[in-house]
This record gives sequence, structure tokens and C-alpha cells, in this order.
Amino acid sequence: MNARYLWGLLLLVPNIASAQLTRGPYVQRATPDSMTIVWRTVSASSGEVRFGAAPDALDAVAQTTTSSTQHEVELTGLSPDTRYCYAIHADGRALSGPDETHCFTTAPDGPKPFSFWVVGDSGTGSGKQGRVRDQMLIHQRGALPAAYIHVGDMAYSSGTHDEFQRKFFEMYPTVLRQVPSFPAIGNHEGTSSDSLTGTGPYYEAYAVPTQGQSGGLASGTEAYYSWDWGDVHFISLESHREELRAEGGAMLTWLQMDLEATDKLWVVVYFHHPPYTKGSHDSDVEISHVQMRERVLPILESHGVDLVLGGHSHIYERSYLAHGAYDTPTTRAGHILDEGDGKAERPYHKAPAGDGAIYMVAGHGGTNVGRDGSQDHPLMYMTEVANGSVLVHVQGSTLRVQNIRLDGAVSDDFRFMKGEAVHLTGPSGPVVANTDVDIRWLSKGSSRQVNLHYSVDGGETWQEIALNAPDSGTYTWTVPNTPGEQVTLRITDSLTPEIQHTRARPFEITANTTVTFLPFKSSWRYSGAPEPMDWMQPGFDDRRWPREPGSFGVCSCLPWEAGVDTFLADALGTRTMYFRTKFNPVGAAEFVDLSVIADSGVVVYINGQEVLRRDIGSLEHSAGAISDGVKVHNIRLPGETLDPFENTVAVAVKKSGDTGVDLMFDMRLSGVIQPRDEATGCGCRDTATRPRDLFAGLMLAALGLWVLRRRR
Amino acid sequence: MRRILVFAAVFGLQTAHAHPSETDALKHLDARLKSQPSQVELHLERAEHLLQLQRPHQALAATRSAGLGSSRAHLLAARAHVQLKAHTAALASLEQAISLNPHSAGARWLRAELFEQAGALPQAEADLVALLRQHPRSAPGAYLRLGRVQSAQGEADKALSTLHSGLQASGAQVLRRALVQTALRHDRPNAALRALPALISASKYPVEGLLMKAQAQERLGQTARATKTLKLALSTAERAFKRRGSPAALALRASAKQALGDAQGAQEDARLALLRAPSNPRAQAVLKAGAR
Repeated sequence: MNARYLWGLLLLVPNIASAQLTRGPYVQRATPDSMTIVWRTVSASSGEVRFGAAPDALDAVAQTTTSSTQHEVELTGLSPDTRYCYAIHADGRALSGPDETHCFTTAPDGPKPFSFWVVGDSGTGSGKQGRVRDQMLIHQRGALPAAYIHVGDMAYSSGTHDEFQRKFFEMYPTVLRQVPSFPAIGNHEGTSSDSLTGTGPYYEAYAVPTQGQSGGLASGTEAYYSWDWGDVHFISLESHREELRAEGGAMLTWLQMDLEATDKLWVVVYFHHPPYTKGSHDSDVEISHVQMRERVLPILESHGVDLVLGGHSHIYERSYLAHGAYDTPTTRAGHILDEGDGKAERPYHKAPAGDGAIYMVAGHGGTNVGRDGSQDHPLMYMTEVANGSVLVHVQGSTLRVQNIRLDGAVSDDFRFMKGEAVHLTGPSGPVVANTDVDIRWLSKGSSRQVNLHYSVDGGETWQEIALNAPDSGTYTWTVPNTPGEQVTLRITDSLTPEIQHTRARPFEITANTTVTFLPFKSSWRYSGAPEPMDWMQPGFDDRRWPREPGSFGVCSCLPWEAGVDTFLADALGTRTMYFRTKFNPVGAAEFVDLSVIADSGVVVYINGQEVLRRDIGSLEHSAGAISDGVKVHNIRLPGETLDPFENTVAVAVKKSGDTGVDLMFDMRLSGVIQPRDEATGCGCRDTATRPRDLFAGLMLAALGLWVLRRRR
Repeated sequence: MRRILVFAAVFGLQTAHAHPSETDALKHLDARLKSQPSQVELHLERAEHLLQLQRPHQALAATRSAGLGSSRAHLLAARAHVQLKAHTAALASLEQAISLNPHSAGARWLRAELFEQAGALPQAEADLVALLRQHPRSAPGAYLRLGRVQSAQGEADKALSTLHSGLQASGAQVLRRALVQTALRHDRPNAALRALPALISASKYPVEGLLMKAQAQERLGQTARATKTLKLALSTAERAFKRRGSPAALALRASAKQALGDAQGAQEDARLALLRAPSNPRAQAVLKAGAR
């Protein structure tokens, strides 16, 4: 090689090293008009973020002013509630992005439905932590929450830089690139980070709003701070250091001022040491819990706080609507305002000048769960010793809170309504055109009449269903013949339009001819061995492959922890699993909707033709996928993809990289069958009968004749 | 067989990682200390757990087992003494902690608090000054406490300067509020008025800020302006209560009514607030003032 080139290569080495990412990127300090992108490089370099409305339209640039390994670039001048995509560069070289996972949405500047995710005590870097994350994503069907709240203990056991990297940033890379996280410090981070001086790995990792940039009052410290999203005011407190819990101290004084300053409908407060727990920690005994209850709760409840979230105790606990229980030990008498379960038809309700809050412990995000005794806490409606995380859906004057367990089950699902409120509860799934369905809702506060509207374009335009209908909680609606997936409903108080609820998640109006050809949990044959090149072809003989019902999966866990119907023990030693099944669509399809859930890479063939490939580079049996994590892929295929009479679906699923252990797979095919030709009774696309069909018909006729002759 | 091996590996990792309860964590530490009795860090970790469980005698014993050779050990011992309300012993332990590590923010902070409680304000001030010199980016609480200690000693200029420095360093609104309160306490209404606009504009319902503004205007003899400000405070409090409906909003309205001379209305609001939030300090203050 020419020596000149060698020198050139050597000169490039430092640039390559400096440009190497060690953390991120991740989004922080979200406001309606700005977002901060944070990342870290091996050695000091300049940093640059290119951003714009889409991955292929990055028309703006923001830069760091100094050379550093820790990069925090604030993107300003953004529009509220708007999606932006970005890519980061160092020394002129692209480091990460742009693609669809390097996008974020700014905070709205007014009330808007949204969801936020609550995780606590996750920082193990274990498979359990990953599955808690994946079950949230599966539950959300790929839609990310607007914000990620961590209630502490995100990096066991000492919150070092390395532990943060492995047990937090590398566990949620895709989420953190898109969803702003707002943490509260845990005791394990507190061993290496000092809240009195604002130093240590925890404080270096995060960029949180300390100056009221995201709403709320400037705290002047990252130890405690507040922020707004939609009509919710969030407050993160420091419960680890006794100095900060002092009465009359800066944190509690700021808390009082901040609570007085907000005009948001909902107030959610979170910190690590919950005021009520009988899990792996006891709030009647341990001083951090006792002081948070005795010193902080009177301030919170006096200011009408609605939801209090904690962790530390490795368990899931959720209270009744409670008020005024500050004594030690905590007693139940006189402190429970509503002894109901808060579920679907009996939500908790707080009157306009009413009291009560719900207290939750979400210390089950990834570490070992457990409890010290066997008694439930007297204020808790529900106690569950199982890993999981919490999703909170904010819809106007209603909060819906769900505990998403490790196995995918929604083990707790309650609603909390506030003031004057209406809330739609049904229909909950797809509805069929030209049929009658009941629209159901809950109503709290004054007596009223309601207006009902529907939208087929996700809320852009609205059509009337009923005006001034009685507030009876139900209305029979004849579903219009407008098939589509972006259908939503709205209920409004006839006299006060501000009292309203719009269904956040669109549903589908299906034509009467819509069918599911291959539902989730169908039976599949599978193999983990290297297979011949033609394994995906319809003629391939797969009879030696075992057959089991989906969903399928494997992980470094106990089979019942995997959250799948068939645990693929055989897949532990292979990088690739192959699946095959057949189905008959009974007619020609106009289009086909394919939904596949896969961890990590997947390629799908229908009748030997590749129709989808995601996160797979090489198709070699020994090659792994090129990314990690459970993803849901949805695509619409042309109707011609299917054979009207018989179809073979073949799927290869690959584990991540060279070492990934987890694998998961399930799939659904649905679509619309073309109306049958009234004259011929045939739903065929091509009305000319094909030779193979003719042969099949002749064979059936011969079989019928043979049966008849045998009977005689 | 392979499956069994995987299960065993998973179980092994799980038991090695964490403990299902605080009691189990202590048991685990005890077991480790049996095999490694000279491990100072384990004794100190045990002391932390015991302090968390409010067992100060055992925590003290654990710090002694650790050998009391480090600043951290003395700081933990001091915290145990505080739980036992033995403040003299706590101060002695903190003296040791600071001599071994003069940069210990925790030790300086705790000693300043104990000095302040004991009325030894110059000593408290010295610790807080040292803390802020060593850690200028400290949490706003250190500035707040130092400003309070200086104000209590009658050192108005020093207190205002400290709070101003803290505000410059952190932007914390608690320091701005303290600055206004200190200025009013030391009869510096102009200083209060200079700081108030930023405090008032930071809140959607700045009732307290408006009440302080009226107080400053009153001190300057601007009675008409003060009355106007108080009326604005009351209407802001009405808006806050309509929106939030909380006992705290009710207590703020009581304060505004009281300042406007509506003693009966103030008493009613304060009583209603205390029915729902018995420890609300603002409502208590209004009720107490009415009783006088």
C-alpha cells in the first residue's frame, strides 16, 4: 500500500475514536418549543444536531459551542405538539440517525390526551427489565408514551457511570431516543451522586428543567423540579437525603410555592420512597417513608394533589382514594374516601372542591420483587408481587391507570375522574358497518345532556350522532357504512363544551366483508435447525416440524415468565427459528393487513414471495438480527398477495446480534374479501376457473361418487 | 438438561443480585460480615440500613465496628446521635467527620443545622459559608439556610447578598421569595419591590407575592396602591380556588381577605381550610391572628 495512504489512515484514527458514541442520543428537558438532545462520545469533540420535520428533511442545525465528551444540544424555536426528527454529528461525521426512531414530539401548549409511562427499581440490566419494557410496547401496539417517568433505582447497585450505561441507557435506547425521561433519584443512585452539591453520575446523565422551562416554578436544582404536559403538572422530589426532607427547608418551601403556582387540572407527584408500602420496605418503620408521609403529604393533600407515585419497595401497590393518613403507623379508619375498586364502571371521583389522592408503588420495573410480611397495607386496594410497569392515560378530566405485568396481563386498570366530567368507555374494539352498537360513557358532577359525534379521520372533522341526548350512560348508534381505521368518538356536555372526552385511541369500522385470515395465536409448525434453501416455498415438506399455538418465545427466564403461549426451549441454542402455516382465505382479497410481533429481526414470505423484512441483514442461519427488542410491524399488502384457495406463510425470526437470547413471534393476517359475484357466487378476482381448481373440483366429485357407491 | 442449566443460571443471578426486603438485606450483610469482619464498608452499609430502620443504638455499634476511621463513619454516628436526640454527641461526631474530610457537604450541612437549632448562629454561619465556598453549585437550601441565619443575627445586608448570590447561581424561586421576606423583615421595601415582579410573574396565582407587594407599598406610604394590590390578590385567590378547589387555595383567600380587613370572611375560609387540611400553616396563622 502507498505510504501516503497509510499516513492518511493513521490521521483518521483519532477522529474515528472521538466520534465514537458511548451513550445516547436521548431526548431531555421537553418543552412546547424546545428539546435537548444529549449524547456522549469517547473523547472530546464538537457536537451538532441536524433536525427537521422528517428523517429526509433535516433542514435546521444546532451545535455545541465547546468540545466535550458530554453533549447537550438544545433545539429551540420548535412548534408545540409537533414531531421532529434528528441526526447527531461530531466533527462533521454522522453518529446516529436520521431514521424513524430518531424522532420526538414536543410538549403540547394546552390540554391534550396523552400517556406517560412509570417505571421504578428497574436497574438490573436483566431479561426481566427488558420484558417489562417490551410488554409496555406490545400493550401500546408500538405507540410510544409521551413521557417516561422513572421513580428511582435505575442503575443498581451504586448508580455509577458504567451501571447507568448498561442498566438504563442500553436497556431503553429506542424509547429514550424518542421519549423525554423525567427521573427522580433513588437511594442506589444516591450512593454515588450527591443531591446537596448536584454532583455525580445521576446529575451528569440527566438534563431536567430546573428553571421552570417546562412549566412550573424554577427549583434551581436537578434534585427536585417540576414540569407540565397537557393539563398535568408533574413534580419530582428528592426523598433520599434527609437534609432535603427538612421542614422549612428549600425543597418543601419550593414544593408549596410550586403547587400554589400551577393552574393545571391534574397534579402528579413522584419520588422514590413511597409514603405507604408493605412490600420489601415498610413505610411504618423506615425513616425516609415516615418523613415523606409526615412532612410532605400534608403539603400535597392541602394543595389537592391527585396521584402520588413511588418505588423503592419491590412490589406493585395501589391505594383506594385516600386522604389525611399521616400518622405512624398508618391506619385505615377515616382515611378512605372511596372503598371501590375504581374500575371501568365505578371510577374514583374527586369533586371540584374535593379531597383524595391515589398512592401507587411501582417498584417492580426489573429487580426481584418481594415483600417482608404477608399483610397488605391498610390503604391499598391492590398488592401484587410481580414485575411490571404502569401506564397512565390522561384524557381530559379522566385518568386511566394500568399496571402492565411482565407476562403482558393488565392486572390493574382503574379510572380517576375529576370535577365535572364525562368519559367514554365503549365500544372498545372494531365495530361493523351498518350494525347497531352501544356507545357507553360515565358522567360525574351536575346533571346534563350530552352531544355525541364521530370522526373517521382521527379527529380532523366530526359528524353528528346525537344532540342533547339524555345523560343515561348509553346510546345506541347505527354504525355508518364508512369503513376505516381512524374512527373516534367524542362526547360533550351540551351546555359546557369544555366538559368533553374524545376517545384517544382510534378504532376501526370494518366492512361486513372484513375477515381475519390468520389470527394471532394461530398454530404454526416450527424448526430451529438449519433448513434447506426452499424452506419457505409452498411445496416444502414441513411435516416433521412440531406444531404448537402462538405466540412463541424464548428468553433467559422461566417459561411462565416469558409471557408467551409456547415457550421454545429448542430455540435456546439457535440464532434463527423458522415457522410455517397454511390457510384458506375463501375468496379473493382486496387488500391484506399483516401485523407481526417479533423479537428481534423477521422476514415473512407468503406463497414463497418475500413480503416483509425488518432488522435482518444476512439470511444465514447463524446470523443474528441487526437490532434488538420487540417490535410490532404493520403493513398493508395488495390483495394479489394471497391465493384465493390456499396460502403458505413462512417466517424466519432471528435473535439479536451474536449473543441475544430473547426471541418472540406471533402474527396476524386480515383483510377484506371481495364481494361474491351474485351471478356466479364466486369471490374470485379472476373469474376464469384455473386448471388447478378444475382438477380439485374433479377430484372432489370423484370422491363424492366413491363415497356414495360405498354406502350403497 | 440445557434448560435446567439455564434455569439454574437465572436463579443464581437473581439470588445474588438483590434482597426482597430491608430485613433480608441486613441478614445478608450480617452473613457477609461473619466471613469478612474487617470490611469497613460493610459495617457502614449496615449502619445506613439500621438508621433507615430507626435503630440508632445498633447503628452506633455498627459505626464503632467500622473503626470510626473515616469521615463517613463519624457522619453516620452523628446521624445516630441525632435520632437519639443527643445533639452534643452528634456535634462531637461531626467535628471528627469534618476534621477527617473538611469537604464533607453532608457533615457541614448537618452541623450547621444543629448549631442553628441550638442558637449558635455564628457557628452555623461559618459552616454554611465553608460549604458554599467548597461547593458553590450547592442546592439552593444551603443559601436559604445561610440567608436565614444571617438575617436572624441582624445582618440584613449579608443575608440579602447571600440570597442574591444563590439566586444568581441557581435561579431558585425559593431564594427570591426569601429575599423579599428578608427585605420586608429588615424594612427594606424598595429591595422587596425590586425582587417581586419576577416572583409574581412566575406564578399563575401569585397571591402570596401580591400580598407581600402590598405590604411593601404600605411601608412606603403608598396606601392606595397597596389597597389596589390587595384587591388584585383577592381576585387572584378567588380564581385559584375556583380552578383548584384545594384547602391551600382557600387558605390563600383567607389571607387576602384578612389583609383587606374582612376578618369574618377570613376566619370562615381559614376554618373551612383547616377542616380539610388541619396542618395548613397559612390557615392556622389566619385563625390565630383572628383570635388575637
